[in-house]
Amino acid sequence: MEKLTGTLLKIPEIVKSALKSKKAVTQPRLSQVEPQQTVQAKLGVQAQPVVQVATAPPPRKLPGIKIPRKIIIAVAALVVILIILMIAMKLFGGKGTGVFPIASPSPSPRPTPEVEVPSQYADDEDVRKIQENMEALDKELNEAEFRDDRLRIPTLDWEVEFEK
Amino acid sequence: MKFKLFILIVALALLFVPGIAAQGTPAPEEEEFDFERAYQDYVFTLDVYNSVHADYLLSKAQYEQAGTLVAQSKAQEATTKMLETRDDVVTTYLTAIRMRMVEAEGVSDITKNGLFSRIDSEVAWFKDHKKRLPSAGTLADLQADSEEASKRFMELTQTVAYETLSTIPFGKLSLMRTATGGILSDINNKVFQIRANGDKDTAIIERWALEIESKITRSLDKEIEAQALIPNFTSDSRNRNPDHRKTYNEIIFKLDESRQFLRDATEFIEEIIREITTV
Repeated sequence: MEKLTGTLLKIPEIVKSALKSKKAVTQPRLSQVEPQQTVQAKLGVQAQPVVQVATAPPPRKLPGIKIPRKIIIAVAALVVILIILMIAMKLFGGKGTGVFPIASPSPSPRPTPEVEVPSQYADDEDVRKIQENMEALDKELNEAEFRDDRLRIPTLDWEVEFEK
Repeated sequence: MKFKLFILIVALALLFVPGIAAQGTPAPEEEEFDFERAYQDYVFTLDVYNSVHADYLLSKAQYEQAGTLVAQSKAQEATTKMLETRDDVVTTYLTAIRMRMVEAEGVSDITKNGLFSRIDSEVAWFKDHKKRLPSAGTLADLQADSEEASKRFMELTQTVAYETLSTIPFGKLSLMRTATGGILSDINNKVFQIRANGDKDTAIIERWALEIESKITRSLDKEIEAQALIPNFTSDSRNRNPDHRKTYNEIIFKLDESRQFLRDATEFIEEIIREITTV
């Protein structure tokens, strides 16, 4: 763990050194390319553009933007600290791989069906007869119609008048 | 001589044998006239009335527009036919509700006979009214005949019809309440046996049985409340525009409430049965 921390702390210095070392630019600049001469002027001399390979120009800095070195160091240190914290959370924070677990719905408690133990009167003949009568009565209570819509009073025309 | 005697015997046999044969064979059964048959007659007559009424309206409009003697004659003919059919509708309708009352259960014979006599009286009146219609000489006479029938229908016929329609469900409810009381009585007997055996606690069952009795009593109270509304039909008939329909709806509503108390009682009975049949 200490080795890892040491390595991470060296990152800003590595970044600094990378920013300092610059590679040479070998691409020629357009202003240094001579224009091709006309055929009439040279009469048969094949004009070829002359390309001069210039030396690497000095590194160009963005005009107006000057980032102090201290700020760069501070930002880099902040990044490092964040990375360390993330690793520490992964190692010591808890289980999981960074994906927030979705809370699964907790199962609602189902009432356990009551187990009815039949008594000695479950097969009693009198009780069975009462049950049969009850079923017949229940059916009658639900099916009986008190209002007979077929026998509604007929609507007839009782107003017979003749206008002369 | 013998030959003549023989001919005479053959002739007499030919005369009497068909009669004897006819007596031997059973007469074709007459179709039973029940409520369904009476209802079909009523529906058919109502359809005929609707058709005839449309013709009457057309003739009336033509007469009122043209005013000619021909139009008047056609209007008179159409009106007579319409009034006759209208009387037929009333008589077939009263016959249908009479047959419905015949088949109703739970209604006492005294109540039935009282309603039958009133229905028969109305049927006879409208049949007589129908016979008098062709004798009307003018449209004014037909108008007077129509008003006479209208008055009769509003004051008496409608009243007896609604009373009959209201009485039929009382019989049904009475039977259902009697059945509920019978089941309760059987349960009480069984509970008495179980208590005597001492193999089951019957305290809660007895409490529920009291609840059932209370529900049955409430059902009866509601029925009595409904019964108290029936005289309103007669008192309403004295008004020019009696609202029998409203009274009828109130009666049916109270009977439905009475039935609900019986439903509550049956739920308690089911609980008692479950309690008895389980440990």
